[in-house]
Amino acid sequence: MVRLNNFDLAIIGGGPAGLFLAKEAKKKGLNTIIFDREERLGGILKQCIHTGFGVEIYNKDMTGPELIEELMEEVLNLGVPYYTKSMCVGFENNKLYFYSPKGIIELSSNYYAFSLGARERARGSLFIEGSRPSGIFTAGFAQYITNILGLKIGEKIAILGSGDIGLIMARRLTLEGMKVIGVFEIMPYYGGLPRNIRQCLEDFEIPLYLSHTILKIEGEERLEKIYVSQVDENLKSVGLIKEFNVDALLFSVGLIPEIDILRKYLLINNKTLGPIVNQYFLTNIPNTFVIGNSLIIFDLVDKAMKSSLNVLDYILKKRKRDLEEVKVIQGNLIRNFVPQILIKDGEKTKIYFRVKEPIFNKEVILRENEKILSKKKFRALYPAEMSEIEIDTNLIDKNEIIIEVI
Amino acid sequence: MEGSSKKESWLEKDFDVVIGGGGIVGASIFRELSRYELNLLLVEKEEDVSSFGSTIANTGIIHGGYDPIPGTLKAILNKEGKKLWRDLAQKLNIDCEFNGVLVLAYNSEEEKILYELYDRGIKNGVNVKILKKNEIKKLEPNLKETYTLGLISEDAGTIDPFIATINIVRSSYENGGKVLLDTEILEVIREGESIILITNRGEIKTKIFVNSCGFFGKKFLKDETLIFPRRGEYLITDKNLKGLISRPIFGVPSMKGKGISITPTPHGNILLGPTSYIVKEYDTSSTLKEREEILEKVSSFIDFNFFPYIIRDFAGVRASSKTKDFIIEFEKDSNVLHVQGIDSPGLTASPAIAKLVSNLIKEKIPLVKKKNFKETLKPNINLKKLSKEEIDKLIQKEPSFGEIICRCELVSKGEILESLKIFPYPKNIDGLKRRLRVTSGRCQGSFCTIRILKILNEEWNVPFEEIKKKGKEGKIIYGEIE
Amino acid sequence: MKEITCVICPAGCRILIDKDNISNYKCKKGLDYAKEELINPKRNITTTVKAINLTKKRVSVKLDKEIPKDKIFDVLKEIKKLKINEKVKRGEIIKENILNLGVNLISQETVE
Repeated sequence: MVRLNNFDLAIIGGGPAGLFLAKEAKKKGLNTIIFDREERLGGILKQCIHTGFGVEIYNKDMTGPELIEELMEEVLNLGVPYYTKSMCVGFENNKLYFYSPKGIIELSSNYYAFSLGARERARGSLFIEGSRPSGIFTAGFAQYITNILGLKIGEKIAILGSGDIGLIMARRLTLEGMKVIGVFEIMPYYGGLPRNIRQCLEDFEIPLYLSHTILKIEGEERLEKIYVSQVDENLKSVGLIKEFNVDALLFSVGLIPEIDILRKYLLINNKTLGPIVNQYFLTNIPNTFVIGNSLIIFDLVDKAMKSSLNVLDYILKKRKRDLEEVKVIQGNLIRNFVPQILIKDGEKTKIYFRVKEPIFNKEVILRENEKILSKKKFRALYPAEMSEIEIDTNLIDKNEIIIEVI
Repeated sequence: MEGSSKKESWLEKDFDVVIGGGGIVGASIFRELSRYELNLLLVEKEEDVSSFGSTIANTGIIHGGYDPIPGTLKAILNKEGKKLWRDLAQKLNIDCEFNGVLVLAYNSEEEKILYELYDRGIKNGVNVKILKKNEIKKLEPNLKETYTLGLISEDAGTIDPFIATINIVRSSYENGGKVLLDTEILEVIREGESIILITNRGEIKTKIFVNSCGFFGKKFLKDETLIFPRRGEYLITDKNLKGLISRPIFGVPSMKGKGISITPTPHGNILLGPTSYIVKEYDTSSTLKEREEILEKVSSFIDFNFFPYIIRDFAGVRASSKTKDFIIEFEKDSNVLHVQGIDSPGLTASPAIAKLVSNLIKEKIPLVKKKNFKETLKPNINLKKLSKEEIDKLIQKEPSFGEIICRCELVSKGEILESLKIFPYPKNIDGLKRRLRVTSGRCQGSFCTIRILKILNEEWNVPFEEIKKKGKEGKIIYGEIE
Repeated sequence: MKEITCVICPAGCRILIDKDNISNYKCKKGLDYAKEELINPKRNITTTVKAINLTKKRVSVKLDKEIPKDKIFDVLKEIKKLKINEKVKRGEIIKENILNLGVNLISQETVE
């Protein structure tokens, strides 16, 4: 057994959020260690070969692999130790355990930060009628197969969901010679960035079918056909059913925070599907933080990285115990938000949130009964975009505030 | 190599008994007959046993035995099978749980039916007890308390039908039974005291042919119309609902059968279903209508939103007989023994069906017991059953047991590698799924599939495009990008 | 008549381009973007190149400058002919001056 102790901060998950926090923590003098279940650090960014990363943090528009290498250079130069191929299996008697080819790892640390990323929503949680052939993948899976293994996942491909991952794969697969027959989106608006609609779909004349859904799948052992129809404002199928002959179907229908390993002990928010945390991303498990996509699905990696520093803030500030807690309540047109709890430590902080539907020329406010504590105006805000609103905890008198759109 | 798709020299011989169908029934008969000095062969049309038909789509319940009509084969074999399973599960390392099965009545009409079941149970000589409301609440505190009466069979339980079939076949093989996969029996020619089986890969001559081919064996019956297919759909949840219910819960049966249940599996998932619809052909697609039906029925048992926990739906077809009982008998004038119409309680009855078949065969050919029949199987390594110290020791000896491939079900590379070497060998991803539960967890394979593909690519030395998810055409990868 | 999605801000206005006529934009940045898309649209390409005898099967690559949009598939064809069989560093030029367009193909990562 490998027994590790005397660490200030253990980071479980060596993706961008974990690596960023690790190197910043080490720079501030904390004895830090990283664990990851894969062979190499870097998390999902290893397979994200498109640009759009590092714009805020490094002022460069980098690809996933480039950003990871940048972070790894710092991690290595700072001498932060790390264990790869190490799968966390949970806490027992206040120690954290991992299975690895080196043996069982038993870890004791003052603080733990979990940055386990997200999992993709798959077919099982959607429900589409029909058979269960092969040829049905999540977009991330297809991305790995294409970019890391250099293999083809099919010849004629349909994509369900207009989130960024789906759009990016539409382009990627087209560039690699496969035919993408269309992207089907159940909502009347697309879920990804306008940049990706332009550069992934419009550039290649891949049709985007808004307000459409896939009704049925056909194919005995490998996918052969999908049946599609339009939907009305209640998302119910209407009109003619169209058939498409495809041999691969990609799901890009949403990400879910990956916190399964802590499920036994964590209090989970049923809107983010991630843990309930305070503004320092501290969970109900003592000395345990959750950051990045495993806390809430971020829209930009840079945001996930920057916000991970809240953990460092908490550890270094050594604040008093037993501070009063404020509950943040979900109000009108807010889809989800984090943190759900604020501790009244007299500091300014921010709440990250998403809206339920597109809003135009509206305000997002934080109020305590009738008193407005903070507000932010939006000319346009779409559900796919995550935004933030600042709050000064000094201004809060009561124990409840509400976040809403007015 | 036994179990391969090549026609070996030993096929030139004649067999004493050929068993058609590598599902739970065929496998059970296979094992029972492998106790005797026989030239014995199991023939399966798919690439793997336990990969098709009713075996892969049932609720996995070892039934109490109060449901079948007294005096029928179903009643007799349910009772006997239930007893035999405990011993068999232990000998062959089959995951199972015996917490009983509960049937609930919600009004006076249903209570009448419940008492009928109770009477039947007494007549069938099985364990049954009527429960009052407070007793039900103690056993299952999370249910909606709208039930008025209950019935429990305390020695009933649940079992993993895949592992059961696979391990039973393995045991038979280790006792000398031979297996031929990828071989479909197309025609059965009765020639006096022998049978000639015309398969897609040649002829097989045998003294006795046991038709336990399930739905695909109905064509060998003199009257094929006796068998009709019924489709059933299931929803399955992930493992985060442990403790919600402790045993299968049923409502009272109807004309369609036992009805939709909530059943916790030995692995910790919850199965919701099955529905029951007569279909025209072998159609295992899922429908929205049936999904809604399942969720509605389940909501009458328990006030719980299963929606966020459902990870998969699947459907299967069982072969039911118009006689409403099992058909287990030799043809009048030939050595073809039909084992047909095996729907519920087929899984429960399997070990008893095997004994009955063996007795029927005894009347035709002499059965001499083998002296060294191996009753047990060497258990496979299963990390979930070991302590941390044991796992650490194991990893020190063989590091691949420390490399976790399936995160959701906690399966290591070492276990996968081992599984590839144990007969009957897995042939594709679904084969590994049935043996190790990989890809059947919450993420439905999005983490592990790639890693499994890599392992198979290396171990089998085949290009990625030849590794299938299931069957022969279910390939995952189309080849390298240009 | 073509309709394009503007990428300058999240509003994603659908700008109409009819021969030389641009309409339906809501700000000057949008108009400028549409003009560029009309006259000389440029794109970068990120893709992978086959690796032989390295620790990875594919090396992710990109162009160090944008190229005219209509040259994407021609450039891709050239990239597909390449194979990397030596250690490569992040930023290293793998192929110079592809199709004489004045752009180089560079590696996104260091691969041993």
